[in-house]
Amino acid sequence: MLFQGSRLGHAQTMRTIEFRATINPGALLTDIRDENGRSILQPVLDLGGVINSVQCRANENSLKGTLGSDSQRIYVDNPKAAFDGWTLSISPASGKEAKWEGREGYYFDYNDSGMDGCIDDDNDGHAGLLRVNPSQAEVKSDCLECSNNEISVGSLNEQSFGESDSITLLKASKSSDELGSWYLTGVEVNQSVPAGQEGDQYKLDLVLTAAAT
Amino acid sequence: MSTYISKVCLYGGLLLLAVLGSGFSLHAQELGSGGIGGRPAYPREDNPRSESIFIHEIDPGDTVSDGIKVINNTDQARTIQVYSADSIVSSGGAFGCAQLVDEKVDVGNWIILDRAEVTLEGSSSEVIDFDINVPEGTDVGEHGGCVVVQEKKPIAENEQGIGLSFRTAIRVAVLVPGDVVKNLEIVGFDSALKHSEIVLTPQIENTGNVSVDAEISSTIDYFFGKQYSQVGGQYPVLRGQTGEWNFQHNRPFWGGIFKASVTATYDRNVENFIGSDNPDKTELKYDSIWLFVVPHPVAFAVELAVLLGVIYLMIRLRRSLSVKRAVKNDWRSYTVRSGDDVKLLAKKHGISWKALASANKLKAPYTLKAGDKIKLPASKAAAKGRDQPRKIDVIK
Repeated sequence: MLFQGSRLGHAQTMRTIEFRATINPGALLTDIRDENGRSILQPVLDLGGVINSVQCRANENSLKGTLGSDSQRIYVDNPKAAFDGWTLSISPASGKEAKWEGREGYYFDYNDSGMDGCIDDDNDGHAGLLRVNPSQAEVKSDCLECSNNEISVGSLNEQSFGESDSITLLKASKSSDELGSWYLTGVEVNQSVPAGQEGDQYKLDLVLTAAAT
Repeated sequence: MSTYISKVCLYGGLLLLAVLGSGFSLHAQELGSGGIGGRPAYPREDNPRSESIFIHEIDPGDTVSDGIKVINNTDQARTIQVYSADSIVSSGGAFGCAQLVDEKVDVGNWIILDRAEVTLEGSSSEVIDFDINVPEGTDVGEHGGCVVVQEKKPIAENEQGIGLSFRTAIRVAVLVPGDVVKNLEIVGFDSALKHSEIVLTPQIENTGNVSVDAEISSTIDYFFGKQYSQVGGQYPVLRGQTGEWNFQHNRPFWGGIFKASVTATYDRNVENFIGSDNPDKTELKYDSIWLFVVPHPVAFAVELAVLLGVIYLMIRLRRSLSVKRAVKNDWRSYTVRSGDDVKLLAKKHGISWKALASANKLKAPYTLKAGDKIKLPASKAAAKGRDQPRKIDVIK
């Protein structure tokens, strides 16, 4: 009886709880992520070291590295942003005038196609050639319901910056998944070093571009 | 000695230890998630492709407005650069974008953005409008450019090797109307093996003055015509360029002879620009190429075993037919008498008892009863004839 009276004595109030959520639109993007999917914001690909020589270091003696590995994957995400295909390419951030720049102010070039990059055939005062070879690269999808069927690797052959200002790594067709995530591994790069290049620690900035086409 | 020292100095000087780095790994300075990009802010209902790229038909001297929605889907505030650039051709004839520092001479120069930079909170977006001003005297056809979104951040210092940054670009296709020409030609078609795949590489040249969306299909057929696999898709072939694609087909496990072919279909109607959906398409074909695919080693072993088995069965069949023919043509009927047995009769006629039993379909224990009708060689000569069953396995 006391219980009933107590219940009757309380005011009954009703509140409506409104759920709100904002979903920001997605954008086509590229980056490099580790195996846990976390972005590596300022990645640097170290091409190792060589000993300066009276001979130009080209081909098998050049600086070598691999862009994209299982723990450092080149990702492209398309969260319903590019509905008709896209490309992924790599190019120097400073355009045609880009150079390998040493801390002590020395330079060598990345786009001299003659003699495997051993001569300064663009007459900018520096020799050197950077090659990118996506032919052995592998592209894999990283989502439940997307495939890599409509995505092709840029080239079967080694490409050089002496021949093109931009090197295509991937092409996706209109029929590729509108909602998907893919990653690329195993892009080989090598850089020839001119004869007598001064000892220094050099850096070249490249940019990966994901473009909706 | 002094000569030796001077040589050491010389080579020491020439062979400077120029340590350009150590190790092949990427270094992570900072870890985060999400991404930065953009998308067209005002897609048009009459052209679904305008959801992905900027498409405009503009007369020389005219201006058209548009906008890009700049997106920060990271969980932190970010300062983002937005700039226009001319389009360039990336390797393989693919669409690419020039850099911020490159001189703009085409569409990149025609685009005037309201702002070049925006700082966005995490998980937010903002529209930046822009005008496209097509100068007088611009030639007819398609002109390409890009609107690029890139995070503004300092380049990693004190590093060596290749520094990487990222950007997202949206294609800008501007058609200057006039005498538009659309024409594609398949100019090459190659095949190659890569890993466990067959890669078919068509090359398609655009000799017109606008880009063309081509539906490209590469097909591998079995020798007798049935389709084994088909890979392709719709890709833009840029104005005045030759595009190249690498379509990867699974390598046939069993190997064999196959026919590879390529087709390309496209809308040749010059009234239709990018995004128009015209079902009436022109189809291009190129000469097929024959492929001999070596089987997988496991498949080769299985195929060899099957082949040997077939040969063995054929030999047995041939012998069996030979016996039947000899029995039918050269042997005579014989009524078994008391005291006859298989071995005795076989010996008497110069054949093995197994051959006799087999020819008469006798079963173990191969006993004969008086009055049974069997067949025997007409003579020893007949038994030794060409069709004589020299060796017949007992069929058990």
